[in-house]
Amino acid sequence: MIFVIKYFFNNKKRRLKIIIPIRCFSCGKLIAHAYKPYLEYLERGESSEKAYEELGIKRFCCKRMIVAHVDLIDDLLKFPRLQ
Amino acid sequence: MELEVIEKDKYNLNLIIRGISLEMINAIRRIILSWVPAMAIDEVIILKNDSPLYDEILAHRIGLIPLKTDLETYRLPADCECGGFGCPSCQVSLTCEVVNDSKNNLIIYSGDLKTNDPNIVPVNPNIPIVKIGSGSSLIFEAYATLGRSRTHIKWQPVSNIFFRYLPNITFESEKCNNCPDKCIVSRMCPEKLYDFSDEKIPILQKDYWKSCTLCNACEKNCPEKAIKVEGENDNYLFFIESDGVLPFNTILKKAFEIFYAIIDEFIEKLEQVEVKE
Repeated sequence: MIFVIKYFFNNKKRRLKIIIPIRCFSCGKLIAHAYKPYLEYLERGESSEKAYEELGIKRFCCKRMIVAHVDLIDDLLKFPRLQ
Repeated sequence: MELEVIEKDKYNLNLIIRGISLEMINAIRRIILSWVPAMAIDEVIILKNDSPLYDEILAHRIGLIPLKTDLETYRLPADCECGGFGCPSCQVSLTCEVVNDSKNNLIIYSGDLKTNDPNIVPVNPNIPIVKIGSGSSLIFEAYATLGRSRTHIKWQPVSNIFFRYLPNITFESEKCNNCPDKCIVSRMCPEKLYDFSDEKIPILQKDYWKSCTLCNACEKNCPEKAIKVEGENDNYLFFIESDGVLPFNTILKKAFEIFYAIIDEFIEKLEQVEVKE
């Protein structure tokens, strides 16, 4: 059980995407402006498929940028910078 | 050559081009992709940065923001009279000065960038750059120049550009009367181009050529061999997807200008070379 928790924790630490990337890694389409509206669509209870259609995101490389993103900047803002 | 616009909106342009060779259309595609100049931030001077991101990451994020481009006023730094040092005809300065006085965290958007030229602005004001905590501040100065995407992806005027053969499907529906199965093709097609709602004979959509990707799933899987998928020679579907950096007219005009310039330069150089007979 301890091993499982450790593994999960390490895994979480490794994916350090702090803030949503500006462009898609694969095709270079602008996606950063679509992240906030996407979350608002989901909060309203609409499907992610509809949200992508409304925001004009067609390819799966751009979809994975948004769906796989974990916003960690709020956690980092709790700590003062070492300056 | 025949040109026909299928779809045009702010970010997409779909065309049918008939009677053009594969080499020619690919040359146009590659020139648009890597030769047409666009505006992007190239140099960032960070005066104060209290955000959780490092200066380098912040500069990279600022550089990737697409800016609306004016190709008539500005020149490439290499072609400029100043020799690339930076003058008003090849450089635009953008500044950002945000101090968070409130108790909550503050997201800095691309709309907070202030330019000295109102034509050169970020295409979307809602692109988040960084988030800062209460009491912290972010002050930087950035310089945007024209560039080509051969150097860096941030200068790319289009986000996606591709073409494919115009699909031509010959479908002999008489053979379907002998077929005992429920039509597997209507379920196999990834674009759902075959309508099998009446459960007797599948109907091919009339505008199938718009979305058919020439995957040949229908041809391979039809048990009666009633379908044949072909791409028409010298007829192409051409798709351009832009971020709004340049209007499509300007992109295409500039692409042809560059194409002619390259050919002229090639002929000029060829005449200078002495050929031994």
